Amino acid sequence: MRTALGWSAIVLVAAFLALFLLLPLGISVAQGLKPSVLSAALAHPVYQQGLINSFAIAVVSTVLAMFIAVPLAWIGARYRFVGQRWLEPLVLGPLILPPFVGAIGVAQLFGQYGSVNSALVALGLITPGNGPDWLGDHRFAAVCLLEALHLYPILYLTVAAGLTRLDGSLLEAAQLMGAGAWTRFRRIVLPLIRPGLFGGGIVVFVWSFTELGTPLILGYDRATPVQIYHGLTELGSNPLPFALVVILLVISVALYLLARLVFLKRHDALAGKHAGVWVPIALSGWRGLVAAGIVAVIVVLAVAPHAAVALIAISGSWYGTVLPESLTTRHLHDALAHPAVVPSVMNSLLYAGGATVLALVLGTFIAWVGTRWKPRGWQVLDTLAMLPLAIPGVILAFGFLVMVMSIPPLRALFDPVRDPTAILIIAYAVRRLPHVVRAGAAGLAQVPPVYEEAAASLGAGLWQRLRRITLPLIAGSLAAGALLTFSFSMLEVSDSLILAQRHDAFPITKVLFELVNILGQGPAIACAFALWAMLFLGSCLWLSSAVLGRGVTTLFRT
Amino acid sequence: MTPVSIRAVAKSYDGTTRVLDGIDLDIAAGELFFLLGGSGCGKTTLLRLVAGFITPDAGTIRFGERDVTGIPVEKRDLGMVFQNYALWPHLSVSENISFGLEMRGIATAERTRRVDEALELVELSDFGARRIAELSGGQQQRVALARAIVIKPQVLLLDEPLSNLDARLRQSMRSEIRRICKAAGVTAIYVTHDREEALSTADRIAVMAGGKLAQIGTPREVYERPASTTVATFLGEANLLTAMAHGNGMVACALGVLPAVMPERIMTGAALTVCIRPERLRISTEGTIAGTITAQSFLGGSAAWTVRCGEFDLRVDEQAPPARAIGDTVRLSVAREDVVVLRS
Repeated sequence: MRTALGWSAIVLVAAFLALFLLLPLGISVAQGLKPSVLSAALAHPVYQQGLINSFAIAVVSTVLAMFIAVPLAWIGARYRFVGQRWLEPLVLGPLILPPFVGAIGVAQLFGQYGSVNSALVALGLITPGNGPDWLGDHRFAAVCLLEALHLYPILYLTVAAGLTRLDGSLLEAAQLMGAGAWTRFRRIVLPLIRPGLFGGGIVVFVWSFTELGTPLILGYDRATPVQIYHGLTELGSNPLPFALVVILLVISVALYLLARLVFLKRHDALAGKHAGVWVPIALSGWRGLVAAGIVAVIVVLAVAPHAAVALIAISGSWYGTVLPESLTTRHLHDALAHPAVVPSVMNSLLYAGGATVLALVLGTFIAWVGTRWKPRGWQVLDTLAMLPLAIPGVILAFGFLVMVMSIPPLRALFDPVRDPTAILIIAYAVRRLPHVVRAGAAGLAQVPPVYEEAAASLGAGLWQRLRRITLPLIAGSLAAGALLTFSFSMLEVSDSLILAQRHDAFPITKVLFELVNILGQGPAIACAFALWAMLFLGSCLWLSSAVLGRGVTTLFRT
Repeated sequence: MTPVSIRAVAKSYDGTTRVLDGIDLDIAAGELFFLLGGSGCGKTTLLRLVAGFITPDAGTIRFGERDVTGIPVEKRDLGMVFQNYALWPHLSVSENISFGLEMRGIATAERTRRVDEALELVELSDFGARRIAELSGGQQQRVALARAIVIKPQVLLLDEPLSNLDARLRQSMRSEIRRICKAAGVTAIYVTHDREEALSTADRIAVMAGGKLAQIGTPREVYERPASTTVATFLGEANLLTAMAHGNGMVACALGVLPAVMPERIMTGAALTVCIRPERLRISTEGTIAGTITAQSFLGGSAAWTVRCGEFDLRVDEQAPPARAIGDTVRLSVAREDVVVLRS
């Protein structure tokens, strides 16, 4: 492979990334980087407020997510208790529940005539119809809470990864010195898991900073991503959204660079050959129940919005009561019979499937180049492939649209108004490429090159080594990456809302979004549809995690 | 300085197999005491019981007059050197050493003084500001010692502290650890599987096997007067011969009838095992035992010969060995005090 063939493959992959990653970003940045546009956007009070709000959402969501994730990870890594085997996968569950679907549920729970107010009426605390308008008054809090409940699993994974690999004797040494539990946590554990905490924290921060779906559904319009989305319709006359894109991009990328710098300084506190014992403490009796209870409460809280969605999907009428008055399967039928639903599932399967294959091929190759071959300048390719992690989905989607519409040859090929299939597959794939690269690299790092060398010594050529030795050995990691790509693509929001512009080509998320906005039965059918989608994805993920174990942890590192 | 007394301590992890069984041990104040044994003998479990990381199923552990059996680790006032040092990578050398003093609420000025003193003791005075990753293995070892000793613990625990060092460094660190322990005047319990480490460094050694104490004694006692075959073989090369008590302080074995160190109350005719260390067998023309050299291994300053005496292959170590060839006949002699009768 250290030949012309290898280099041409590298050039091909690099060209692909240049065209479908750098170019769309470049075009939108070039438009927004004009000083006049930039200063006009920054001076605009509505946009100022949007930026401040988005930043505040990110800060509050990240802090909330930390308060949820760190204790959970600590309990999970340090103790063994009843029901842990069942609760631990559930802890990760919220990650696959699309938060904008949860937003529909939140609206039901906290609406003026929703469950919470109905419960207050039942308790005699308020009179019917005079309850507080929770959502109207607290849209900001609702957005933050939903984001935190959606994203805490990312932090949980990075923190738990750090905790389980922490050398237990470091804590024993502190204990011997007379440090109590809290001191040990504060002085030893916290500093040592800081890379994971920081790395995961940045992912959560950028994610919630740039999230489009949740504020959009909850009607929280004064947030930058929503403003960019609404600005798409008037791009010809108003260039300010371009400036917002630049600002969002600069902040996100800067944060990722910061995270990478911090990671470079990480301490090697991981368990080595003679590492001390880190035996989880078995909690029996009431202690075990308390631990299980804490985890269960958080899981229930995180799942509540989606549970509400599921309830709406099967309830006959739910208005002014704590729980629905009657149950029905009508909406579930209606959802499947709705003319837009089945085609959108087929579309999403096509887009997500195509994107998974594309990301798998590109990602495996890039991972292999970076871990095995390492030709001069391989870091460029690696950085390029990891870049989408730092780039908000709404910005990439925005860039794709602007690029395709403004370059005639590309428009001829990819015009989303005509057929968004190709551009959506590419957009999904580019967006999730980092997960596959990380997964592949993690797999390759665990496979000593000596296995391949042994095969080579027995006369196996490159292709045979790859097919017979390397790929089977890293299949688990690749499958984890592929799975993540597929599930995220199935429920991708930004690209889907922005790039799918023809009704019969809508993916699941765009149909959901349209349904929610239809008065009458629309939201109920949307919920029923969402329930189907979640069931489908949940079984996908459950199946794969049963097959793969806990290999997903590595995929969220920056 | 605090004596340690361990009484009837037992420990089992799964409820059935005893990892430790009825351990009784008294360690004198200021003593450098070794727990020596192979893997799985229970020495590490015993150390972790003394530390308090695990609690015994039965028995008591006392530091001086104080019963610490139920006292949590952080209240026991111990220093410990871990096998992998367990130095906190996010703190500097000085910060690592100073941590225990901080936990004891010692004022900053006093802390600085004592950290400097400890650094001086381990000869790392200029290294206070370094990060742990910038130190060599031997230096990390010294920092780990300094961190454990600076708090002037009642008892110092060392868990295979030299196993991560290369052979040359290990040798020099042995005497270094002994010097530092004695200078600090601390009671120390040292776990190792390395017999040379134990023999060269210990005040006393407890040899452990199968969760029990096989023998306790000074290095010379356990080496020269092993109480059992387990102890004899664990502490060095040993020729073990089945024998019979012959009366009048003599034993009959494959080498003939030899004078031996007999324990009391051995009946004539009783079946015994005798142990003769290879270096105690002397090749000389006056020897009474005849044999033929069947294998040799030249080691420079010494040689290890395999000498066939009748049916038995003896190992014989000879200092400054002359040239001998396989097939040479030799005569061997051994002194009475070097023929040790073991309990069967």
